[in-house]
Amino acid sequence: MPLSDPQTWVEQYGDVLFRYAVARLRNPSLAEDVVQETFLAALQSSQRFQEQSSERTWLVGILKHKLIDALRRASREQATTLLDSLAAEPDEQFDEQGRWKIGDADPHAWDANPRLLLQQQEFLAVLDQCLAGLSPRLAHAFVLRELDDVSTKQICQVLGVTPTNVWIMLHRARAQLRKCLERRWFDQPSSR
Amino acid sequence: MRRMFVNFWTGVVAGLGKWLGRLMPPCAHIAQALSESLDHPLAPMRWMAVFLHVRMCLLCRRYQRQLRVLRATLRAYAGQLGGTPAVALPTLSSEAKQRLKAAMQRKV
Repeated sequence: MPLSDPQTWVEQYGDVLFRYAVARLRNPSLAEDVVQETFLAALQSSQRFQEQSSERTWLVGILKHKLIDALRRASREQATTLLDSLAAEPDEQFDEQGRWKIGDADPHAWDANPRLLLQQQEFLAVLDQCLAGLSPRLAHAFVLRELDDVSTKQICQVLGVTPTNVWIMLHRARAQLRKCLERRWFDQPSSR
Repeated sequence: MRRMFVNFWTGVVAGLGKWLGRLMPPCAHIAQALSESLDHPLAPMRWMAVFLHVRMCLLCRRYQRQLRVLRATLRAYAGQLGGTPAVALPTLSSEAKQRLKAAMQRKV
């Protein structure tokens, strides 16, 4: 299929690309900039469009590169001392012996079906708030790994950190998100 | 001779204790290992420690299940973002669309 008129791209693909970017960058204005960069890069390289793939797949491919560039820029701006503090920071979920603190911090029973959860607008709002609660650097590592299935090796290259740092960051992000969702969704009687 | 015998067995018991301690690390270490197991294969000894611990510890078992639910939910969410979402997700405002169109026209 040949390329459609670039003037129609914004209406056809703008929302899909924007949603994709917002979910990863957690910042609508930055996401808009990245979508703009994507369209401009696509205009420049329209001769390289392979007709075997769909226009949307091609644009999402360009967007992924632009997102990685944006994440790399953002991670350079943040101090690497965050990683040192993360490694040294005691985990509030455990006592001095490393056992779960019973009460608020220990994992409660969840009655969860991912497909059904995603059909609830309220759950998506809570998920969004919980993701927004992660520090930018943790969120970047986390969304690359969990939303885009990027390998930890590639995340190391994007963020300029070691594999051990990435594993600690992912562990902290998962623990924080789990705790946040439990408090704000799974422990709420109205969510069941 | 007797002292050597006692020292030998004290060493053996201490070594065994250390080895068992390594085999049965606390929940905090297991939680970190469970998270890492989603990102890379664990070394055999560490994998064995996690395997045994999770079978005996209800809370770590729950944690493991919850990490899997989180992953499945987020991967499904990623699929939804690129496809037709079941619920309303963020979209570009009409002003933003106008800005994008103007930027593209300038480029053309």
